[in-house]
Formats: sequence, C-alpha cells, structure tokens
Amino acid sequence: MRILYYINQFFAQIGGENSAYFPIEFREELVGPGNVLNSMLNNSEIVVTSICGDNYYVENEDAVIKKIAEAIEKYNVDLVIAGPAFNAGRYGIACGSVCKIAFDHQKIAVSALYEQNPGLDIYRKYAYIFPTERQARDMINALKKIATFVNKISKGNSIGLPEEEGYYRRGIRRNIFREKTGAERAVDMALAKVLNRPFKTEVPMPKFEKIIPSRPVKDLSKVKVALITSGGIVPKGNPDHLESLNSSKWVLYNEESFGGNYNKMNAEVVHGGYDPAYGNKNANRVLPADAMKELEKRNVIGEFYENVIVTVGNSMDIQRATKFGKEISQKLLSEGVQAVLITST
Amino acid sequence: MEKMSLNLEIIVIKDACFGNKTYIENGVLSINKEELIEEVKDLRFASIDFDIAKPGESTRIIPVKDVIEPRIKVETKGMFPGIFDNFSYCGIGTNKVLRGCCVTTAGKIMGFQEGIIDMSGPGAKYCHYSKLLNIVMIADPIEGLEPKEHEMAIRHMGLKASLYLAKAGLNVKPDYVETYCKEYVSPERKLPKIALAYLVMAQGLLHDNEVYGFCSRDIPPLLMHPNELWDGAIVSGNCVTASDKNTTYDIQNNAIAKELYERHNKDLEFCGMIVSPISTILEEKERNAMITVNLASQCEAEALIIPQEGGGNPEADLMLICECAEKRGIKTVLMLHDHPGVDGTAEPMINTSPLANAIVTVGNDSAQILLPEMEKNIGHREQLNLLSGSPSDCEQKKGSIKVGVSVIMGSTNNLGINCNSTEEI
Repeated sequence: MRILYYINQFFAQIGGENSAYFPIEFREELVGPGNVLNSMLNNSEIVVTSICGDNYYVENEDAVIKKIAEAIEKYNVDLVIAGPAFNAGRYGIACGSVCKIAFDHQKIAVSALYEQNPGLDIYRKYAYIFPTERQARDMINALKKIATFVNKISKGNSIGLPEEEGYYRRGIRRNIFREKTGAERAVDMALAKVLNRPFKTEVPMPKFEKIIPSRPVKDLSKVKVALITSGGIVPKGNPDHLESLNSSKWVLYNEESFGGNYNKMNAEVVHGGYDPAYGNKNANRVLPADAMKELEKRNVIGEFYENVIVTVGNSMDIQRATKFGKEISQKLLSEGVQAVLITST
Repeated sequence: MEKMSLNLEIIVIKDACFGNKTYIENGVLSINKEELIEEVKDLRFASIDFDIAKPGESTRIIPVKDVIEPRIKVETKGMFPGIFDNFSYCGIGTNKVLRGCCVTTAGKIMGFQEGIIDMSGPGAKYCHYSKLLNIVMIADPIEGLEPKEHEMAIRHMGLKASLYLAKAGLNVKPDYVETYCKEYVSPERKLPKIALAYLVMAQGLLHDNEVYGFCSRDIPPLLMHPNELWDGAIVSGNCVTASDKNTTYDIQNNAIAKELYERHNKDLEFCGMIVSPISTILEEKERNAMITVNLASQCEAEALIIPQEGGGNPEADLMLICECAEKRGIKTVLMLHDHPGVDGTAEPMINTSPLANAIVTVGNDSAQILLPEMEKNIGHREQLNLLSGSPSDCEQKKGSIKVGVSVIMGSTNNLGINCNSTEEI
C-alpha cells in the first residue's frame, strides 16, 4: 500500500514553538519518525511525507485540507498515517483533521494519541487511533502499534473490534454478517427478556442533541418567508439529478425552473418513499408555492422569497440533515429571509 | 375440533431448463417457455419473456420487483386466496412446494425502488435469492400504462407464473414433508409465551401488500395463523427500497414465524401472530398499535417480536407498539435495519423510545458497495441509475458499479431471514 505520512514541524526536526508557523510542504522522502516507521512496514511504503507547523495548520485549515486532499490524489495514496502526537494538543488536533481528510476520501487513516489529547474526542470516529503514553519517549511502541495494524490491513485481513485490535472505540457502525440469522437472534432476545436473563441490544438508543427553537415571529406581515420541501418536487426531467434516496444535495429553484408559473408547475416527484401519483398530478400538493404567492398578495406574509429549496428526505440520516439545515440557513439569512415553511411527506 | 394443520410437500429443485414440456424429473424443472408466456400473457404488456439465472453464474437481474416461491394447494389446485384461489382451504390441507427455485419478476422500472440480484460476486453475499434458481419473467408495459395498473398487473403475472410451475409438482413424490400444526403446550411446562406482531407496509402505490386479496390499507390488525402465510394469504405489492421490503417469497417463508414454529413446545410457546398495516396517518398508527397490543394480550403473550417493513416512517409504529406493550407488561423485541449513513457515523435511528431496549438490526443499507460488471444482464441494465439507492456516480470503471447496499434485493430484510447486521466499532 502507498502511504501518506503526516508530522509536525517538531518531529520533522525543523524546530520547536518558534517554527509553529512552518507552512505545509510535501517531501517525496522519509522524514523524522518516518524512517523507523517505514522500516517496520511490510507490503507498504511511505511515498510522501507531509509536514506542517501546528499553528500554520490551525490558521490556514481550509487551504491545508485542500493541499492534503490533492496530495492523496496525486500520489495515489491508499492509507494515511498521522502522528503519533502523544499529549500535544494542537498536533493531536491537526493529526485528527488529517485523518478526517483521508476518511472523506474513503481512505483508511491510522494515528496514535494519548487518551486525554483533545484531538481524540473530536476525531476518533474518522480513524483507527491507538493509545500512547503521555510523552514522546513512547515513540517506538506507538510506531509498532501503528505498523502492526497497517501490516495486517495490507495483507487483506479483516479489521476486528476495538477490544481485539487495540484502537480507541470509534463510535461508528459497520455492516457485518453474524453467525445466527436475525430471526434466531430476535427469538433468543425475546426469551432472554422474559426469563430475566442478560441480553445485549444490537442498537443502543441514540441520544439526540436538544435543539432550542427560535423565537416565534412577531409580525408575519413584515417578514420574508421561504418555502422548503423534503418531498422531492423537481422540474420535469430532474435536470439536477436529485437522487430518490440518500440524496446528496439540496437545490435552489425558482418559478422559471418550473415553466414560469408556480400555480401550474411543470414538475415531477423524485422522492422514492411515498406514492408519487398525487404529487405528479399537481406539484402544489407537496410544494404549495401557489399558496405562498397568494399569502404574499394578501399581505399575510411580508414577502415570499422567490427561490424554493428542494431536497429528498428519503432515508436521509440525521447528520446529513443537520449539515443541509446549517447550509440552507446560511443561504437564507444572506438573502434576508427570516422565517421558513417546510413541507415533508 | 380440529387444529389447523398444513402439510408442505417439498420437492427439491436442483436445476431448471427450457424444453418441450413442463415437468419435473429427478429434481430438474423443465419449462415449456411458450406455454408459460401464454399462461401469463396480458395485453397491457408489449413484451413478455422468460430466462433462467443459476447460482454462481456471472448474471445480474435488474430491475427486480418481486420474488415468489412456486407453491400449489393440492385440494384446490390454486394458491393465494382472494387472488388465484377461493376461501376454502387457507392454512390447512396440503401444498406442493418447489424448493430451491423462485419466480422473479423484472422489467422496465415502474417507480424508483426495485433492485438487483447478482448471482455471484460480492453482491451475492448479501442476497438470499442468489442461492436459488431464478426463473425470471421480463415484462415491459405498453406506452402510457398507468403505474398503478402496471404494478398490479406484473404482481399478478408473477403469481400466475409461480402457480403454473408449481402445477408440475402435483403428481411428483416429495423429497420430504414439513407439517405445520401448533401442538398443545402443557401449562406445567411453563414455557414463555411469545407472539409475533408482523407489520405490513400499507402506504399507497408501490408501498402496499395484499391480504386475502384486500389492499393492506383496507384492513385493521388481524389475528392470523402463520399457516396462512405459507398459503400465500399475504402477497407483496411493495416496491419500496429493494433491501428492506418483504417479497412474496419472504412472506411465504416468514423467518420469524418459522423460527417461533420450530421452537414451539421446545423452549417457548408460539402463542399468536398479529398482522398489522403500517399506515401513513398518525391516528391510524395509534389505533393499530392499540389493537395489536390488545390482540397480543388476548393471546396471553409475555413477549412480542415486532419487525418493521421498509424503514424511517415505520419506526414510529415500532415505538408506538413497543411503548403500548411494555406499559402493559408485555416485553418487546424490535427488528429493523439501522441507518447511520453512508459512512456509519450518523445516529442509527430516527425514532426512539427509552423503553426500546431490545433491538435486532439487520444491517445498514446506506453503506456503499462496489460490484463488478456481470457477463450476463437479464432485464434492463441501463436503468441502474434509476434504482433507489444508486448514487449519481453509480457507473464506475470497466462496467463496475458503486451502489448503496439498498439496491440489493433483501439485503436488509427486516424479517431476519439472513445474517446481515451492524456492529459498533
């Protein structure tokens, strides 16, 4: 496997705090701990070393992330290793961030941090992070842990549970095949419950963040209101290829997109999770832009924002929905919108 | 009074081929294709054809609508009461079953759902139909056929095809017989009483089932005998996401009912099965939850196993029934597929209850998988991008495809027919 190895200015032997603003650079050679690490690897090699000052990373995060992503592409990288960062906070956070870049590009990321390093909690779900001691004198042990794990992956072996392999629990879920069928497991679990025997639920209840709702609108007749739908109403032909399930985007449309008239929309339903017959006959049933225009005319609302926002809610996971919500709010706020009406199915 | 007893005479089908006559000999099903096409012919379809896909072949069937196990009732020569049988023998008597094969309906996509069956490769690992001989019907509609008619027509054509094939088994000696009769359980044994609340999708076009020929939206929760499932009393009209719907095959072989039956009078008593529709309307969900728990209570259930069909919206039904049951002292086990997103990092469920402390998960169908090109494609390979769960970049290099696990038929079957699941790492 081809590996990108990330270290900071200190471990690259450039300098200490005084070099914390060292700008990101890529070297097609082994640097610092990369020498020992590479010698421990079978079937893999470090093809590029990325070095960055801890402060430079934090203050130029977007640019640095872009450069690392480009390097992953350019060097045909299969796997990314960052650190070990022990208890160094800024370095640990940078390592975590590098791991997330790898994760976002569907590459395995491996790192090693002390359990109290702030980078661990923020980034643990994106990588296989191994425990280290507080101090850098644990370097050889930490590198050994990383190398052993990487060697196992490069042989094509499956990755075991955290308890088996030694990495910190990531808190993410992956598909597996169990020994017994779901039906057998369900009956076993029912019996255990009735007979007061111990059992383990396969999905613990998630804890949701408590969202504080915004204050109610005092006077709707003075407010610009936008219309959003997760019901997947798009212009006929679905020009933006909105997916019918697990939609990867939200799209802005206006009256023109639908043929020039919100009262008679040239549209179709692309949401795959409900009966589309009624929405296909009259899109206003799901996207009541006609009603919004009327409410504006009657000054019930101050103004109907000219664009509508469309996505498909079918099978959308909470994280993605949160991300979309944040992005859409930013856009609407920049357009002076103060309230939204959201329709679903 | 006679207890309900149903014999399934199992004829094991080891191979299938097309020939001059339709008959079964030494486990080989020979099919007269012209006769079969004539049997299912329907003027609403411009073209109808049949093909055979065998386990291990480099073959992909796409888009798949339903899968049916060929069965026929000896007493009536029919199957599927309310559709292709009358109401005289449901749940009793004797059926012939052609095991090891299935009728798979395919053809131009009618909605966004529908899926694929890969007979080999990484996709086959997730798919229980890949282990069967698939007799595939490819039927394409005439121009302008309304989706509602299209769906119902293909549904019934598939059932007809399965009945035609099963007829060939009428005079064939079975390889073995399974007898389904819930024997009396002595109270002295103190075996835990477990009931099944089998939820069926009832949410409109392409999201429906047929129960005794009624649309599932038109029924309240019913107490049914599991033998009636073996007799085709419930048939799938559901094209919701290929991975998490129950095909007619899955219903005929309801895995939880089978498991409970298997263990009846051994370590438990299978005290009842309630079939309840999953409605879109909140009031109906609440009503059905109450009726379901009332029926379970009448069965003296100490525990209730509740699988959903589909996902997302039906989680609400799971939680409503769970809370209603637990508050009445009936312990619950829920069955669902979790959806922590493409990368496994999101919350696995959207509807929760602190009382839902026993959940079996059958997998994450948002996870993506890379599948190789197959040598043979039966149906319409070009419609891959229209399947529910195909990302916009589904077509990759050299004909390989990147798809959500959701496009693989039955990969996260909520009745737990296979071993797919998720774990946290």
